[in-house]
Amino acid sequence: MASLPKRIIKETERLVSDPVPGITAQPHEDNLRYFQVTIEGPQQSPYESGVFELELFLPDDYPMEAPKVRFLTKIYHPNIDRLGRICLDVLKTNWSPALQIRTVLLSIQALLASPNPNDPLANDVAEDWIKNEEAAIEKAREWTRLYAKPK
Amino acid sequence: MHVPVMTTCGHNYCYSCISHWLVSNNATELTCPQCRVSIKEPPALNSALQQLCGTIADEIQDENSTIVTTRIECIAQYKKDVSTGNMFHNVFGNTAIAVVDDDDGVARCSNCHWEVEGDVCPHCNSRMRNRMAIGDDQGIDSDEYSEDELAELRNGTAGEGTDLARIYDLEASSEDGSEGSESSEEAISARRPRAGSDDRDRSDVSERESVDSDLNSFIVDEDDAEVGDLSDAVSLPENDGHKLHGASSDDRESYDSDFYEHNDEGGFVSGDSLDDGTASESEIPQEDDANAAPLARKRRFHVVIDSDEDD
Repeated sequence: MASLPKRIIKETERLVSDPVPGITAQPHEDNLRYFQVTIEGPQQSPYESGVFELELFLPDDYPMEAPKVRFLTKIYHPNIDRLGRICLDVLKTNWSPALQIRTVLLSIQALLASPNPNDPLANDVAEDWIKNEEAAIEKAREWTRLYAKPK
Repeated sequence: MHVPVMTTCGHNYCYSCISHWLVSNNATELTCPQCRVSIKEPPALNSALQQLCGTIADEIQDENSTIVTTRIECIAQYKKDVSTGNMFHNVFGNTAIAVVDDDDGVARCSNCHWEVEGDVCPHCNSRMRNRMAIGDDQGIDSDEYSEDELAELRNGTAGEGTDLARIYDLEASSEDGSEGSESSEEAISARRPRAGSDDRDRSDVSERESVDSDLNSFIVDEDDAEVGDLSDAVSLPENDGHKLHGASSDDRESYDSDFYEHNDEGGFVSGDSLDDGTASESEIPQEDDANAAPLARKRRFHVVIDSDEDD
């Protein structure tokens, strides 16, 4: 594998030495571009007290191209589909090389705190969310209890 | 940072880094990585900062000798680009707008009227300022998912996609999010670009989007292309009046829209298939011309023969 750009090494060092509260990111031993990530559900959100696992991959073109992130833990969220893909502007069209792994993960945590059913990825979830928000939030809580148990 | 350049919004970048970003940035406009302000003028060399960086580099060059080599490389590259007039890979110079021809629905370079595919005019090498989104398998990264998951994704999104596209067609809302995040975001970012796949698409679309002028909004979007095709299918009877080409072309047209509707899982329309559509459109008038010319010649011939017989 080609040598890792300095920027990725620096970011990784900082992620380990100065982690974001509620977020961990560990590079894979064999592939330093692949990270195993956990994000704690934000407080006062339906995902509170859940710990969600994600995978993050830095493509060859990073930082010119956004990192690829997806949820491994099942989650009931209008902007995250059942395969864990995330609908988030900074991961797609609004990516900028000034963003980092940590800012992206913070954005994802913020997305958990404020679901946006008006720009859905999981259409069925978004419909539930719009029709009956309370029931949807309750379901999200239930899924968090079921699938996002802290280890 | 051996060759720092400053954007008009006051942010400094390494020349090679910002060049790389401006080229790889496939959004509809060039933006500053830090503040997202659109960059209209080429960033200029910040010589004060270059001096400062140079002083620092001189201080530490003993410890880290790669700094010296990269510095020489960076400055050489910058000077070469300045002298050859190829600054920032020429993203600021030599640009044009892709304009859709009203007659045949083909996107053309505003510079030389050549048909354009993709970001760069094949004839005059102008970069299209309104870039066309290039379909890449409806935004699913195949390396990210296993075969099964991919199949599931495609099947799963296909149905939803068409349903939502219909709803979208009726409501003409700007956010449908039908086929995954990629296309919906592209759609939003492009401020409802218009499909340019053929004439009838454009007439349908322009009813909804009469605000947009030809000049600022030609971007082929997978999403729109599908919507256009669906609306074709729905409004075929209306359009019969426009079809002067007879039954054969009718067949071809309906085959096209059927083809897209049924075979196009999730609304993915590749650049190639769009081109096929436009090609068949533009061929038809040519065929007519070609038929008309020999006819005219035949008639003249007849007249001559007749006059011969009379004699």
